[in-house]
Amino acid sequence: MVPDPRTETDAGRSSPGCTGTGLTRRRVLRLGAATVVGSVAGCSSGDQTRTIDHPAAADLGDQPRLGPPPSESDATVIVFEDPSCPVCRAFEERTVPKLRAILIDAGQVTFYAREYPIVAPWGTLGSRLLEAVYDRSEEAFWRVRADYFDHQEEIRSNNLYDHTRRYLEDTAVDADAVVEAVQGGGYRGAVQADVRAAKNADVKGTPTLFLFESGEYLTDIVGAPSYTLLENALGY
Amino acid sequence: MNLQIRTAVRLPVHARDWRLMARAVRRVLSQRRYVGLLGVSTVLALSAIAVAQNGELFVRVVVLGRLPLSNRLHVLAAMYPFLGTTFEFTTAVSVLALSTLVGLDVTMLLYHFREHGVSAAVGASGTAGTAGALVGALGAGCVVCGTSLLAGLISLVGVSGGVVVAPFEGLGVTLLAAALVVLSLFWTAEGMHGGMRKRELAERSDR
Repeated sequence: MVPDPRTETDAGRSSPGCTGTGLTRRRVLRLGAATVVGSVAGCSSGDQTRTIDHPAAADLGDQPRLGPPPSESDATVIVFEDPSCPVCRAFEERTVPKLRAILIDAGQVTFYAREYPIVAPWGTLGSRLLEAVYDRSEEAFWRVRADYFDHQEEIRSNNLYDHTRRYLEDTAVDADAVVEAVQGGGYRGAVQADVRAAKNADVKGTPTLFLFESGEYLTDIVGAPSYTLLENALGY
Repeated sequence: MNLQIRTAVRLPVHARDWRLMARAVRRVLSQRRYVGLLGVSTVLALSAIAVAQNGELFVRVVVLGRLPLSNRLHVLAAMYPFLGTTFEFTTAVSVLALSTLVGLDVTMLLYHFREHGVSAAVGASGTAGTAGALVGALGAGCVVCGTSLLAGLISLVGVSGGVVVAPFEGLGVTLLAAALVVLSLFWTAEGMHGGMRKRELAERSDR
């Protein structure tokens, strides 16, 4: 199979201008994680290297995360969402703030967000833009993501670049660089990695959550579960 | 067993068809035991829809989970419309309505089977009614986000990753399911009408 040259402009490969050194945030994260793993190899205590063995957790180290790393929390939640999905929006507005305030910020739950654009046509472009923003600033990523959910009804493929550019002007992220990177074909691979993980995990719709307890698979949940459901399913 | 096979399947396009359905429903619900059966089958239909959204959650956490009973009961309750948030408001209302329709359909089918015998139930109208009830219930099985059902169907025919927007945020799927159940109700009502006519004729010939 001939590799798609467009994927070679993904962050972490040959994309210029992210940090000016060819090092991207994603690559730094991977190197940092490898260093930590190497330095604790041979230690007899702790579960610092706990990995989650599940298709939904493929390439998890590259994914946006809220809360501590999985090795430091009791439970992990991985959610596959589409920025254009109304049910995902309901989950983000109703459940995630409570989950964040009560369990994530307390260090008890790790939360990962992954993209699975299957609803509106702009979902795929939105996912790539989110990956491009995440590659530059994790904080800006969560804000842009929330903005996409807030303005779902207005966003279309033909206004998403402008919408994103306007929003990023109030952040430290270079809006032009983000838009140009995506317009140049970048970040397809990053989104494809999420889509591949979703398909391997048999995700049929959005949102779909995967719950893990101490690294062990607990269950999946399709739809927008309430905080009460999540809290009880995780044993709190 | 006397199998009656009809080649034509009618649709309720006339006012008299709806009056036939209404009479059949009234007849069935005039008996208290069938009212009770309606309640039970509605709850079962609602539970089937709620659990079908998250079968793995139900089995792994509610049934087989090691959590305290209170946690598991909370999880189970949160899977139902209005008790949890899995269903949006309009979808929750439509799921309740659909569950009632399915419950009514099942009740009428059982009445038909019980009052008019096996032959009527396995005739074209009875079979169509049963199939309609099943399809209606299954069609409602993905009301959380109609996209997932439609995306699944599209991927079955090889168009993976196809972008589908379910009408009215998935409500369209529920409405389709409701239409199928109403068809099932009509076919069952027709079958009941036919079964009653058969019985009347049999009683007359016995005299």
